[in-house]
Amino acid sequence: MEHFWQVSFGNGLTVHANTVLMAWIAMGLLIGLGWLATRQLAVIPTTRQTAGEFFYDFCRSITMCTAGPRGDGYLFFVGSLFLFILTCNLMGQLPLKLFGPLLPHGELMAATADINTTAALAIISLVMYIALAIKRTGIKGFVSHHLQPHWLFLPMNLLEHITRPASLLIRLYFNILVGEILSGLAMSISPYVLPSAVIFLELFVAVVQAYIFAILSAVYVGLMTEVHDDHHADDAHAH
Amino acid sequence: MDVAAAAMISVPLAVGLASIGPAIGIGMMASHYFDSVARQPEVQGAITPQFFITLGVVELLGLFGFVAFYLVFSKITF
Repeated sequence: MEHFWQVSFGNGLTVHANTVLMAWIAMGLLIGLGWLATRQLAVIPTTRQTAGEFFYDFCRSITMCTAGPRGDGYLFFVGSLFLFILTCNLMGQLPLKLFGPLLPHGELMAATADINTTAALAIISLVMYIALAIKRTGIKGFVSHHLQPHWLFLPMNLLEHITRPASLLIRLYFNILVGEILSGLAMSISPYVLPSAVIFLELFVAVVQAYIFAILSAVYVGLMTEVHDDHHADDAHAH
Repeated sequence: MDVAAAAMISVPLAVGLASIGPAIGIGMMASHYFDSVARQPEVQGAITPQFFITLGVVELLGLFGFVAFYLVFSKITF
């Protein structure tokens, strides 16, 4: 793909500046909206606060349905993933081609249409679920989790740590990339009517993919932080 | 038949064939989802997240065809 604005910093470090720019805009948008929604909190919420509470409740429903009340411990992680990916995906549907001439190379597109962004998100997910598992079950519990249900399953359990982030990264990246290619194709066939149908489909895909990424991360954390040795330990923690 | 022509035939075929399986899978899944929600509307909240988890797992298989498309197409010079 020749659509990237590559900036080299020497030492072999090359950055896709258009992706970084879009990710920064998404971060700024989220920080600004979060600040707006949590200003002057009141018992009887204003419209801003209600909107913020709606997103909080939605993110909490993701962790609740995968791990129950135990999920509140990593709500910050799943909620940030969901909101960041959703913002990045939806920003890809803005008419970004208008800003193309402002860049020296390449064009602006959704930050998640670059494999580096999705790989970074998948690696964050991997590191996070390993760290949360060690924090909750200790090193001993973490090691013994890989020997379930028998030590012969060790290679398969280790392989999971590669296939889980890889599948997260492939799913998100190719879904968004297919959307970009499809809207480009529709634009070249009939520039007036057809792209709006594709954009409508892409809005749906953007929300579903953000939801799937967040819910799968929550499932992985939930699986890794399960306590295996004692079946009642979970219930004791929950209450 | 030269390499570029073979790729032009086989690459769309790979994408098309790879999407048959997930299409059947997602169709069956959605049909059973609607069946169970129509029969017992109160389970909707409980099974909708599971539906989306399975959707993500099944849909990934279709994207492998697109991975083949991507790998082959970036190698060809016309």
